[in-house]
Amino acid sequence: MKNFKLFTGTQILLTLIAGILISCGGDDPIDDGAFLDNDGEVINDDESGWSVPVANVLAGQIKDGIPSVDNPRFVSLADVTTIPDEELVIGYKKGDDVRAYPHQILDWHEIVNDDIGGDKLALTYCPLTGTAIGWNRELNGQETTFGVSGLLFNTNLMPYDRQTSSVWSQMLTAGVNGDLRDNQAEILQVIEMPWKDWKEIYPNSSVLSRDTGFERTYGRYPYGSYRQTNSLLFPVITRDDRLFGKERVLGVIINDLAKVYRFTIMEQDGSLKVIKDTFQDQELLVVGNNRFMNVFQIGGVSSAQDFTSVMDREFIAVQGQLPIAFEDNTGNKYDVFGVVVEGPESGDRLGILEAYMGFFFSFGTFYPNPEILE
Amino acid sequence: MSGNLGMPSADKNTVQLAVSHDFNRLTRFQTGRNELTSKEFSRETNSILVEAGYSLSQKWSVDVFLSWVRQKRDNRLAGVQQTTSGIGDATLLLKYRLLSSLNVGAGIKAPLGASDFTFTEGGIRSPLPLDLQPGSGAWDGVFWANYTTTLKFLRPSTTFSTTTTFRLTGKNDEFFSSTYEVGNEFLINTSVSDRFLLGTLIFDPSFGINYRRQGTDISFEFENPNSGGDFVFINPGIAYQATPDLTFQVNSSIPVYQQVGGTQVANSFRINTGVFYRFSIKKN
Repeated sequence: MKNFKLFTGTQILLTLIAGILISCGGDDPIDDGAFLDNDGEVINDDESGWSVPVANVLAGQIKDGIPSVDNPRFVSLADVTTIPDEELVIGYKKGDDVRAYPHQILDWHEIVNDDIGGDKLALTYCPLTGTAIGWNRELNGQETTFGVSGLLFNTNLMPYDRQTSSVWSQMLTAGVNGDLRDNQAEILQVIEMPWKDWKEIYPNSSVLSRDTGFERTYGRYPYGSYRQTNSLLFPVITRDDRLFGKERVLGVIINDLAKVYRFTIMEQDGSLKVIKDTFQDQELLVVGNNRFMNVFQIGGVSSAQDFTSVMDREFIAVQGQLPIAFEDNTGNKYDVFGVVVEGPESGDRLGILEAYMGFFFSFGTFYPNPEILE
Repeated sequence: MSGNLGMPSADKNTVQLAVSHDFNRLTRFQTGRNELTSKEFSRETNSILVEAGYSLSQKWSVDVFLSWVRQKRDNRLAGVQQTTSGIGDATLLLKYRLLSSLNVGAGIKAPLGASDFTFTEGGIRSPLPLDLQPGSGAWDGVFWANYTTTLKFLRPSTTFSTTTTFRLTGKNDEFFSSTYEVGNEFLINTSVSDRFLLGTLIFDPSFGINYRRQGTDISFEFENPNSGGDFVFINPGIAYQATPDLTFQVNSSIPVYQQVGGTQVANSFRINTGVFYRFSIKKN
């Protein structure tokens, strides 16, 4: 498998000469946020003002050349006839307000700035890494919106916030340049699944309208055979070739390390399954079938204020009652977002992690040598 | 610019020079054949084209084609305009007169033009796309054929001409630490011209039709879905013959069919104005 070259060898060489590189030993692939190349060398570029190696940041577009959707309109699911069954959508739920954001639209805009019952959601989506992550667009108590900076780091979307113009890395979920450098984005949980499943589970949900204010050929995938090949459009620091690069996996990020879950761990007949797992001393619950997956924190240490460990409970999958996906031995029934929809703790939800679906190569690039559960 | 390639056949030791200005405006935002109403994007290319031909013998001749290119890309939504300019690639074409009315040729396009222009976004210097670079950074093979005859059954001065050009593109192996290969290009130009007198002035109006097939670009070993396409233009033009060896001409291209690969900004109008001069070098 081909290893992709860095953007400019000269810049890396200059970085080396400047003595910015520090050695990284042992088995820990990431040392304090540093990035490693294929030879395991650290190539952080801190003196540049960026917290990521500048040599691997480049512009695929001009700023706002890909326009974010800032005034999203929604239509009722029943009125949507333009999405094929196997097309993916991103779902978000706030109480009874459930919304779907089709890849067909996200492919052309990459960011939707929305407000769902007071949740200030910036849905960020990178078609090149296949990653959709919900961010809270309230930063330091102030509401803002995110736009597409045009920059890519490791061929992944770099949003910018319109409050400070700081540049962020989507897959690092952090500011990497500007006033908000090193600030962490607050994750708002989304789920990705095929349209066929979504419309069966949430038939009363609303769907992002094609009336975005822009004229684009929604429904026509703009990157050709990109999802079917191992080739990338832009350079990355390192490649992990253990799996086909564009295989969709569920990745969990804890302590700057990643673990990915393949669909092969799920029942292949479409029935739901729950798996208890441990990663980086955190207790996780993976839920899904052969078409969608989600993961929740059920034990360990969480920064979330309302997090309660439930790792001692028994969880079992519930069949045929979607959106209810699983239940525990205390009588709680949970939907696919991990929200208790029936039972004594109705309204509560399981712990939210930094976890999202994406192409396998992207996890291998950002979080080298991820653990794979298959 | 391949459509401008190839001088008319001439007697031995004849030098032919053509200098023209080419203006190409692209404002039609299209997907496949469908024009979108959005006017967010536009492009303009202004080129100075210089072609020199020399007839080595009655059969053999050689043409050299040079250009200077200025390209501008506008994104009105983002309020950004990007401009590049510089010497373009050079083409050398060796031609052979196979029959009295049929000439064939082969040549190379050398990467004389720069292909390393960059732009800065967010303080990051990044490569401009190859279609904004003055040069392609690749060696191409060029194959050319022209058939010209008079349509005496109409009028003795009516001329029919058809020119076919095929550009077998090479790969730019050093496009910002990666590779880029522009798609192959096939062109066929067919035109009919005639002559009339306005007082003592001699004019040659012409009308042509041009078909161009542009293959898909490949970058990072990946086909760019938003490249390539099939294009048909009509080409009305007129030439004024000031002397038997000096001609001024204006030609335009108006798209009548454009099927672009993916979504692209397509041609809306093109006009070429130039002067043609020839003279003989007598050798004893």
